[in-house]
Amino acid sequence: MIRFKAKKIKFNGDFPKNSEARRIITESGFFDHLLKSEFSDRDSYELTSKSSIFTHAMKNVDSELGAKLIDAASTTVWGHKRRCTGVQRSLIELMQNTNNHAAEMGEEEKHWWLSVKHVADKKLVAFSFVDYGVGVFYSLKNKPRDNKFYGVLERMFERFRYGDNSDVLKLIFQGELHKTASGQPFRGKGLPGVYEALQKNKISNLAMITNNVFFNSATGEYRILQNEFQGTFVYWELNPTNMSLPYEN
Amino acid sequence: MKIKIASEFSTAPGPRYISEGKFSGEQFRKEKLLPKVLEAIDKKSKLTVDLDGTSGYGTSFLEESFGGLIRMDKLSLAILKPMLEFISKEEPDLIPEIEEDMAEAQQHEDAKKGDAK
Repeated sequence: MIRFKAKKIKFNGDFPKNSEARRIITESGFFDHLLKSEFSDRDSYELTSKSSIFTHAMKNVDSELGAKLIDAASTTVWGHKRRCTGVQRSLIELMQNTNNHAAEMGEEEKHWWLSVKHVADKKLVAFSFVDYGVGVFYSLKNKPRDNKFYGVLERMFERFRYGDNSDVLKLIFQGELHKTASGQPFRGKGLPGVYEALQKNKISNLAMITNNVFFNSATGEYRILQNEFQGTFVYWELNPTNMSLPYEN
Repeated sequence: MKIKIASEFSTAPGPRYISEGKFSGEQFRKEKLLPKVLEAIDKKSKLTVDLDGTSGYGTSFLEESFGGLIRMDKLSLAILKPMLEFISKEEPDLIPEIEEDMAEAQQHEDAKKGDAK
């Protein structure tokens, strides 16, 4: 949509049928920006609104932005600033994945988008991270021959005799992608890092959609979707039961 | 000798490479860690790395910083292991994570040498 807007190509769409989704997208300030006549293609965007939803977009990894968003999130959750290392790790891993994999595919750098929704009365903050890259499985399937992850999906299917991508996502979370890949040993720890933050109770209610796989930690469900999403969407929450550290150490 | 990442580098450590964003592991290794490591080797003293006080670490920052000493700067695990000490009272799990990164980096280097023979 950014590219369409920047190049002044007209496009259209429908509102979500779900009323809650419709309300959230309206409150996010998305349409205020979408309907602006002046819109340029930039490396970063900050979509603020009068509501409790704040959206940022960027191509690089911005750890300072992560820390700033955590300051605000922890104030909503605990009433004062705290450090949330699991949230920060999750943000860095996801930003890094978007940055790396678009480049690995030889594509133009892609934006990641992060929306943070504050639900003050429930002392809860919801993080939604999305990129419109190619998604985890398509990315893994199309690695060049000299890449560490070339052929890794086939090797994982062979090694574990697993059925489909939803099974593979489980293995990726457990760090098996890193172990199965040959060559450079220093990649493939991003998504396990996010999953570990969930396991250590540093974040809650992790959910993910990538290509044809849906994962929801609240129900333990890994499911194959009928419609594919070409990208990666990750959602999690921060609430008062999650581990955090004092702001000053 | 001691180095505290939060006060001597950044309270918000970032990605792996300088090209990916601010306060990267590559920057930390090149500008802060490696000079101290070399000084410590020269003086035959230990170097304590204090990991506490930051907003959190990505896995790539840690690997590039410490695994990078072996992969990129060609220092061996045999030299680094006895001289590097870590403090991580806030997140004790970071220490075995770094140790694993360094061990894997050494395995990688050993395998490369094996291939070259």
